[in-house]
Formats: sequence, structure tokens, C-alpha cells
Amino acid sequence: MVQRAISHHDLEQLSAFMDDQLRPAERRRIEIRLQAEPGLQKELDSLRYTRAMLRSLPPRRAPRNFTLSTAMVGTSRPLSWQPVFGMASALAVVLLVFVLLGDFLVIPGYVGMFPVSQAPAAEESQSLAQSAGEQTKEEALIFPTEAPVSTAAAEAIPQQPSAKAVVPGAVTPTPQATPATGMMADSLPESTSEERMMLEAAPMISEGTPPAAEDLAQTPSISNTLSLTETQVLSGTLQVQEQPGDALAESKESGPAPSERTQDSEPTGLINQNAADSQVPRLWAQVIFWMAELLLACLAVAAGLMSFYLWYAGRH
Amino acid sequence: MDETFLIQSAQAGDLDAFNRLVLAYQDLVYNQALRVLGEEAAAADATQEAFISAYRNIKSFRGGIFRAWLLRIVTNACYDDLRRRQRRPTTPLEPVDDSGEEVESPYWMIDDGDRPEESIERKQLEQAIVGCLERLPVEFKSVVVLVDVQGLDYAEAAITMGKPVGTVKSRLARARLRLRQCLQSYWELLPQEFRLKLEADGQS
Repeated sequence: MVQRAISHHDLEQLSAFMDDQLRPAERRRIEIRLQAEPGLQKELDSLRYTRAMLRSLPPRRAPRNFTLSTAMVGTSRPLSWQPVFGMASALAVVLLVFVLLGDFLVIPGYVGMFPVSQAPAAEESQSLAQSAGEQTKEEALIFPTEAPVSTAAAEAIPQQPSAKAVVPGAVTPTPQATPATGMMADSLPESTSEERMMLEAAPMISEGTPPAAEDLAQTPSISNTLSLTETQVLSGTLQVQEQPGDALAESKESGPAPSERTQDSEPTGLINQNAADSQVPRLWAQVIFWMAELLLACLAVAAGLMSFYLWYAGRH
Repeated sequence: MDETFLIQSAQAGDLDAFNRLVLAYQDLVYNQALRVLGEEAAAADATQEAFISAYRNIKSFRGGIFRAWLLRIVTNACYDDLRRRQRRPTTPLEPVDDSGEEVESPYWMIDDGDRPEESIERKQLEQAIVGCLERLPVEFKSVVVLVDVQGLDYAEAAITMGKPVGTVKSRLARARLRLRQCLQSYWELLPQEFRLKLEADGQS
């Protein structure tokens, strides 16, 4: 029987053999050697005793429960997504506010909530009123006996009944002034139109009570005619100022426009054309702003809800 | 207890689910810490730190043996405590005898009311084993506690220590050889049931 020296490697092999951790080939070699070498067997026995003593150590129960509380793990918890979502929600709200401000202030042509397209109509009414006022001034120059338009316009209303009284039988100026108004608005720039009005007024006077021919030639009838003209002018002016739309409609409805009427309508047409052209990019900008607002609002709500959910889940 | 479900719940942030895992494994974890550190107070601190660390890093557990993963965390906690002790040696609280050596740790002397049936021999054996373990280097002590005290196999021990199986095998053998020399004089204290088992293993 050959007693081989037991190396450290042999002892490691015995330790693994004891735990059944050797490969089959290594296990067979050790088994053969254990049968042939009593010293190796003795070493194995001592290792088994040692392992048995270690295994005899009684397991100790934990002295207390080591369960965790939220206070233990809450303060230094690893980075969670809750603050990230909270910041994202806050940022989305801030951006939404900026976009809303831009919606009101930045888009060109915006005046509060109303697009610029309505402005030309107001400008046109103002220009018409101004031209009507200018024409009445010309009237005042032609007929110096007449009072200035500004004051006459203010006085015309209560004076109308007297004018009517002066011209009995005459058709009330207001209804008649309506068709005449359009004509007046169109023809005011022309001095010859005054003469036409005078000629038209003469038959009107005659419709009520047949005046005598000498009466027509008399100055009072002429003055009455003038006052009627004045009344018509003033009433037409007033109507132009108060109903610009009607004036525009009248100007459009009455036949072929004279040169002045064409000139007057040309600026209106250009304004409408420009307004239409400028509204297309404004509409696109408006759509883009609305989409941005909607997107930011949804993002803010979603991020805020997610942040709240993560916070609630973390606390409970 | 469905361990997989509890682990998944804990990974989702359910602290109650993790605490159920704590209750299931706290004895195992505490024993590992106690046998490595040799002190009850230090073992309790290391156990608590290990479970806190485990909860914070629960998402890093990608499956496998949860017991081995927990024991790795507590073993590392024990290493950290031993390194702190080496950097800052503390004054022992245990009294010293006339020769200047520390009296055995008090917890060996505690009359544990939960173990009335245990004999004096058992307590003496435990004291001897613990004393011999204390003389081992920490890396040897960890592996022998894992395999021979806690009952892990070589693969689990390798996972716990983060070392190859070959390293576990080598360190375990060297730890057993050293303990064999220290415990030889106490073999007679080995309880009867363990002697019979030894004889049965020898005959197989």
C-alpha cells in the first residue's frame, strides 16, 4: 500500500467530494484512492466531523421584526419619475400660457378677438360720411343763405316739420329722401346735380297744391325749393351717416356708376381683395396656435395626472 | 406565499409585499450577519441595512435565487461593518479577565428561555464553534457559514459571494481545514444525532 502525500489539492478534492461537487471522473479517482489510502480516508473523516459541528450550530431567530416603514425608505428612495412628470406638467402649463398670449398678441391683424377683415367696412363708412360732409359744405358755399352743414344738420330734424309746412303737399322728405339719398350721395360732388335737384323739386311742390305760375317764379317758392333741397341734402347726409350700409347698397343697386362712383368703389374693392388675401395666412397661424394649445393642454393634464399617481403610489 | 408575485409587487413599489418577504427571510439574513460579525447588535444593524438596501435595489433583481441575492446584500453589509471597525477600533464593552482577554460574548451566556431543552454541552459547543469562526479571515468565514451553517450549495454560494464556483470550492476547503484544527478538541461535544449521521455518511 502506497501512502501518497496528501496535498492541498487532495484536501480540496475531499472537501468537494464530501459535498458531492466533483465531476464523475474526479469522483471515481477519489473513491479509488480512498480505498487504497487510509490516510486519505482519515482526512476525509476529520473534514466530515468539522462540517457536522458547523451544521450543529442552532439557527438563531431574529431578535425583532426587520420590516420596513415608509419613513425608512421614503427619504432616500432612488430617483423616481414622479418629480419628472411634475416638472413636465408645470413646463407644459407655462408654455400653454405663452401660446395663449401669443394667440392674442402675436398673430398679425388680430385686434382682440376680431380679425381685421371687419375694419374696411368701418373705414368705408367713415370715408362715405366724410365725403357726405364735404359735399354738404360745398352746398353751403353754393347757397350762402343756408346755414353751415354741421349746425344745419343738427337743426334740420326739428325744422323738418316747418319745412313741410312751408311746402305743403310735398312728400315727406324722409321716405323720398331714401331714393334721393342714393342719388344725392352719388351726385353730390357735381354742382350740376344741384340744378337737377331743383328741377325735380319744382314738380314735387306742384303735386300738393297747384301753385300759381307766378308763385313759382317768386323767390319764396325758390327759397322753399331751396329749403326742400337743403332738407333733402341734410336728411340724405344724416341717412348716409346713419346707414352706411344702405348707402353702399344704393350705390351698388343704382345702374351704371358714374366715374366718381367708380372711383369711390375702387378703393373699396381693393380693400376687400387685400383683406381676403391676408386672411389665409392668418387662418393658418390661427390653426397652428390652436393645435399647439390643445397639445400643450393635453400634455399638461397627462403629466400632472401621472405625477399625482406616482406620488400617491409612493406614499401608499 | 407566492414569492415571485411578492417580488414583482415589491418591484412595483408595494412596500407591504416586500415586508412579507422580510418576515420570511429575516431569520436567515440575521443568522448570516450574526455568524459573520459575532455580535448581536452589529448583526441587527447589518440586517436592517441589508433589507433597506434590498428594497431600494429590488428592481435590480432579475430573477434567480432570491435567497442568494439577499444573503449577498447582507454579506456585503457585514464586510462594510468590519472595514469600519478596522478603521475605527472601538473599545470593547465586554469585560476582560485578569489576563487581558475578553470574556466570552455575553450572548453565549444568555439563558435563552426559548431553548430550555438545550444542554450545557450544546452551549459549550456553540461557544467553541463561534470562537473558532472568529479566528477565520472574513472571506473564509463567509463561505463556510453560507455552505455549512446556512445550507447553500456551491452555486448559490458563488452567487452570494459574487465569485466563481472554483473560488468557492477552494475557500471552503481552506476554511474547513483551519476549523478542523480548532475544533478537534471539541469533537466529543458533538451531539449524538450528528454522530450517527456521520457514521451513516461514512458507510454510504
